[in-house]
Amino acid sequence: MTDDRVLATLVAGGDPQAFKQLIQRHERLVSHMVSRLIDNQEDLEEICQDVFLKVYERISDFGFQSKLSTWIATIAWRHAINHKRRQKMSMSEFPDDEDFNKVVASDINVENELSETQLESVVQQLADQLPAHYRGVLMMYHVESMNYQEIGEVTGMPEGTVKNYLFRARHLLKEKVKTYLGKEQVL
Amino acid sequence: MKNEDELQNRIVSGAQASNADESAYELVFKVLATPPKSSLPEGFADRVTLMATSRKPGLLKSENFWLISGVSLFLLTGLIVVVVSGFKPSFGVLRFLQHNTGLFLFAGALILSGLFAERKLLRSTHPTV
Repeated sequence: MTDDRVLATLVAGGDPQAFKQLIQRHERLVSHMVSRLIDNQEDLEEICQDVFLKVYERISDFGFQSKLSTWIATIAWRHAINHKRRQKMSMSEFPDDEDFNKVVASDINVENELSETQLESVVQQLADQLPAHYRGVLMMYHVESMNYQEIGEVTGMPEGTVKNYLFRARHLLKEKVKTYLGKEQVL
Repeated sequence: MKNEDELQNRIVSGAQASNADESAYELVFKVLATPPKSSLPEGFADRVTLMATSRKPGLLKSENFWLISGVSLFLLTGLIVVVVSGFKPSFGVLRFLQHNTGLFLFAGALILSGLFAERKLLRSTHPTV
């Protein structure tokens, strides 16, 4: 396994095999980053492709001030955000409880006791209803194991905002799960 | 809220749930740690590598140096010629336009409205333009 610095140097020198290795090493991260913001599979592929083309174009300017993965994640995040902006989709507002209740009311059949897997699927649906920024931050923290500082670098948010986003989103999801579990017990 | 923060931290650190809140958090954290079901098609890396390496590269630093040097030399030569030949710029045939200020303003307004229409109408309906 080639070290990130060596790999970046080889890619900057135009080595196609090194670039292919870089893509294979980071495609999971990039697709996760983009898929948290973009639902359409075609758009997802196109954005991921643009992200790696940008990486190839800019890698000679990358000075390892951060980890290579953090830098690539930043490019992926910005591409996805710009794509959403072009689609004029709202990303900033936090959904109110009513929106979550709608999801619970419409998509979940509370008459049948759910298995653990079904319950997890319900929580996943609730998480998917969160605004894009929240989904992105949650994914970076819980799936990619990034710390607050790294998430801040990627998103351009202060660390305090990152912590606040994580706290609020998890708290809101927990309350919904509790409400739902309460309903289930009553039935 | 401080209590909630502590609850979250307890579950993050791997503590066992002992009440309804903690059980709910445990479930939420388990779901959040599940990777998204997204994948790129097979051969994605090959395709992107081919695209990147077959692209025409931008100008190199040395090429930029020669480009800037050439343009600077061209401008310097022009300046020397103007000074040596004693060339005096004259508006010549354009003088008649000095009495037609309205025409200039009309032309300016026309160009600006054209640019505005292009930005508002064309780009908003065709974002890729």
